[in-house]
Amino acid sequence: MDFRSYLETERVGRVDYRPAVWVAPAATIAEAIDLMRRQAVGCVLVVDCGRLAGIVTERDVLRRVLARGGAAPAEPVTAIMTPDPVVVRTRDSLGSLFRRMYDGGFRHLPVLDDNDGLLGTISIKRVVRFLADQFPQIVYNIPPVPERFGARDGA
Amino acid sequence: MLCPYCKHENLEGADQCESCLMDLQPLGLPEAETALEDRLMNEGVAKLGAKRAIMVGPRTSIRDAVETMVKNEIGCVLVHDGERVVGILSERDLLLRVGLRLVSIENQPVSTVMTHRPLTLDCDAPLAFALNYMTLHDFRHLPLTRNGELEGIISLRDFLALLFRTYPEIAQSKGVEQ
Repeated sequence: MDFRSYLETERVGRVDYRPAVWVAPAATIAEAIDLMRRQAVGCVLVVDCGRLAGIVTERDVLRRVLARGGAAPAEPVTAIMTPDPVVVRTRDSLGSLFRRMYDGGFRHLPVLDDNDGLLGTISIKRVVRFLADQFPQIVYNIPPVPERFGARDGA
Repeated sequence: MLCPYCKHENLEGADQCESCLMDLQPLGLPEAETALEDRLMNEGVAKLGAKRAIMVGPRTSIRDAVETMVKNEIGCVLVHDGERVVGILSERDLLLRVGLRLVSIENQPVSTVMTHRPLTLDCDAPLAFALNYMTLHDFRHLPLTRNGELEGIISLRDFLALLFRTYPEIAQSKGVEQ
């Protein structure tokens, strides 16, 4: 089977997604940021009574909180979340996951099961790592040595 | 495995010719079986189309670096001291190392929170190597150099672009999806 057909037939469940890191809508922006830092994740989901209500990414934190004129840390997280985010479901094909991530310019997508139950998030890092893992012979065997800026000065 | 340079018969999988010391590694690589593998092995990372990097100076304040990233809608800036790149600052660094402390440290220089002397990759490195390199180091952005000079910056997203350039028909929306 060629690689393209593989991506069209295999499902999202193939990618090693991360369990959801989430807060309730009543949580403050400060709590959400604190959680992201402690868990070292690039996004938190906002979950209301078991239902996905929104997503907050590190980009949202930068633009909507840290940037000049941004929201105050004590405001509810709902003030900076993106409501009703684009999601993927475990039954979707890998191809459609990649397509959604690429076309939407997203770095994180929530993963839901068939009953809209929240399973986790898939990051672009996991997606690209998945791609690399499909060609181990090639990706892990190719040579050359990179250099740091200034390394040629003998530093 | 026959050395193509001196015809010495080496053990299968040898990295180097026992007789003339030529590098035999490329001979041990597998054949590309798909169009994507072919590109990964045979195209240079420059083919991803490095974007122009946005630079700030090491004494730029953290506040100004944040505003530069927001204004340019980018995920990282390079820190350049006039001679060379001395650091990189990403959204991730800002979240993890600064976060809400920003209010109290916004006037400090960016050099206090940046990642110093970032790793780079030469434009001619094979795509497969770049893919391995970024995955291994968990990088989202990587500066590229040509003859030691900064050429631009690539991101993980560029690998998705490569996938869709190779297989444009993957999950093509039929106009019915949202």
